[in-house]
Amino acid sequence: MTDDVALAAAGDVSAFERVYHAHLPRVHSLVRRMSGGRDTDELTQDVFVRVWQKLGSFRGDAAFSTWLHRLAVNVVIERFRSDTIRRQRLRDGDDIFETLPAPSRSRDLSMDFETALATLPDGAREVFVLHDVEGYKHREIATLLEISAGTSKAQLHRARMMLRRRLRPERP
Amino acid sequence: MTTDSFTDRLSEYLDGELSAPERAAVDAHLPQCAACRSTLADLRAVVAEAALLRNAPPARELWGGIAARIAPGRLPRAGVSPFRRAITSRLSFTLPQLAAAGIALMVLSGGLVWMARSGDPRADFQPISAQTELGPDTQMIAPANFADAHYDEAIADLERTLEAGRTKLEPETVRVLEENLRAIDRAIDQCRRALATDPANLYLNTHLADARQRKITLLRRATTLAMLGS
Amino acid sequence: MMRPGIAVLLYALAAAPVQAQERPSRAPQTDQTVPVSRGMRLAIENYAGEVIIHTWDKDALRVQARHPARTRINIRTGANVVNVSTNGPAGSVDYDITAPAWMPMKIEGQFNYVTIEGAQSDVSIETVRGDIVLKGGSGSITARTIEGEIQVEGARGTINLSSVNQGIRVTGASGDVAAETTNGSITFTRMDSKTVGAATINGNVSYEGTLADNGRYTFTTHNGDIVMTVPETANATFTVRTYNGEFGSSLPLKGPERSEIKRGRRAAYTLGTGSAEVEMESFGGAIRVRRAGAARTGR
Repeated sequence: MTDDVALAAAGDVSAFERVYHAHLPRVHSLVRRMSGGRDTDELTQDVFVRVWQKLGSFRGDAAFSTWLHRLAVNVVIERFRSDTIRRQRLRDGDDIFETLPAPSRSRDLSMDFETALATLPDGAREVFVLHDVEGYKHREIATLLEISAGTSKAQLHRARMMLRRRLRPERP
Repeated sequence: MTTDSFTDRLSEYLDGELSAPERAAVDAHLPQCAACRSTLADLRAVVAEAALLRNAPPARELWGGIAARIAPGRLPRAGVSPFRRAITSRLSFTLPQLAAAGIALMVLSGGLVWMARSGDPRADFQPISAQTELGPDTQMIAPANFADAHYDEAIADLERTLEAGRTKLEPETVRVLEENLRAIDRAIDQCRRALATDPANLYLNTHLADARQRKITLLRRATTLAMLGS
Repeated sequence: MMRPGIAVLLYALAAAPVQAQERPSRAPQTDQTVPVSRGMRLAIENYAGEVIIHTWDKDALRVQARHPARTRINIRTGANVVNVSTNGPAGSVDYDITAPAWMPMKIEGQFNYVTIEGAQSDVSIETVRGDIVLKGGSGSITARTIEGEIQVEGARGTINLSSVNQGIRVTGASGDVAAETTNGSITFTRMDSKTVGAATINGNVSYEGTLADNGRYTFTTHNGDIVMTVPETANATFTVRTYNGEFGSSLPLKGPERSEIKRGRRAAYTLGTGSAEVEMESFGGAIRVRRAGAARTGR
């Protein structure tokens, strides 16, 4: 794999295609979850184009997958930065707590986890994916999403509570 | 602390992010509160499920679209560097529309003048605003219609020039430029909509003029790039 | 440390199939040193690749480059300029150049990643797709990119930065600074400058540093937030305008009720003697003034 990365950095498109295939499932899933399923395929392509463009600046001083991952997160965040509604959702406490109703009692089956994830409001979902799925710390998330660590913690808790309700509708 | 405030802290408790005294308070609370215990168990379950999520590749093939953007069929010009040619072409090129668009975008309104600086592209993103101090209640004349017409004409000219030259730009660059032009358009649109209900608003008028100037600047940059490619 | 080599954006050689692209070896194919004298400037044209420039105090210019075998590096010394460019099949060239610190430099190219360290004279960089990183320097700096990021650290001269699609970071600058982008945030840290202007559409602007007496600071965004982190002992007048956004401060400022700030009404808040002029405008975002040194946990 390191050889392919080095070859790709030198301009070898076939080597880059192998790198692409190796990382595709993880990148596609990350993008899908963070964006709530919006433009997932296009964003995935954007990520790999950006990786190709930035490959020359990868110094090999950290794991390639960590570097690629970070780039993927940045691409998704940049895309949704222009959505003003999203900005407001990230502010802690001053907007409506839920934008979608919790499933009613007549729904007998709990929602599939991925589906439930997609129904979360943007800010909560992004923080949840970064923290609980991808393992970033609050301080890192704060930098990535340009929010405070406190907002990150609040959004995480909010996401978990909403997921809890959607997965187990009988809970209060 | 109330039960609600305990509930609010449960995620931090779970993640080990509470201070020692806060943690102790929750530790003491849990044995007495079935609701909190149940919530905590649910939160643990949510975190556990998140960790088990599997990654899956997309349903359709995406490599083609990526390959087209990183190694497009169009080959770079062999031989002469485009910049050698550009040095002479920049001097001899005359585009009256470009010059006109760059020079002035003036909006005259009741004693206030916004003027867009021309010339040095490095400095022209900051329109000079010569402001007389108006209080919020001062009656203001709405921007004259002719300024709108000038702006529209300048934009149209630049867009036509860019359209003619866009095949000379890389597809990725075109995409980035278009996305950013759209972002500026959205900002302009928001200003316009706000102005519809508040036409004499000083901030909105200045901000709209700024956004329009930005669009012109970006179009000029894009057009210059396209010209260099010829 | 691994050096991956070429930052190829648009690499195809005219007639060669993909697999025939040569992998660059470790040693540079070109390594030439030419004497230069004060008053000369450096002009580099590189279509694509990486341009790294370091400085020294010799009156000489050393050009090392990694490139395909058939490409030739052209170093032409004129009366007051040294031109560095390429002949031969188009492809990507990575430069590693050492120039006198006194030498003004201009780098142009479409797909260039440029890094310059220690330039003491004027620097001008223009690229389309490529990041620009500048460290140190006391001359005036002009850096423009369309798709890349710009980072400038420790510069003492006038700085003019422009990107379109990405963000800009300026650290430890003491000269006048103007930065603009459309789709990125602009971040200033450890600043000690008298004049700073930053404008973006889709990003945040954040400023951390001193506010000089009689200084002028202007920050504008459409969608983003503006956050300033300044010492309590600063003297500044903060003029705030926002249409849909809000304003808050953790410093004791004198000024109108926050509810008055809406629909673009101009509101002025004073800290200390109010000497420095700070203007902050955001159409829809939050504008905040924070105390330097406060812990960044929560609000």
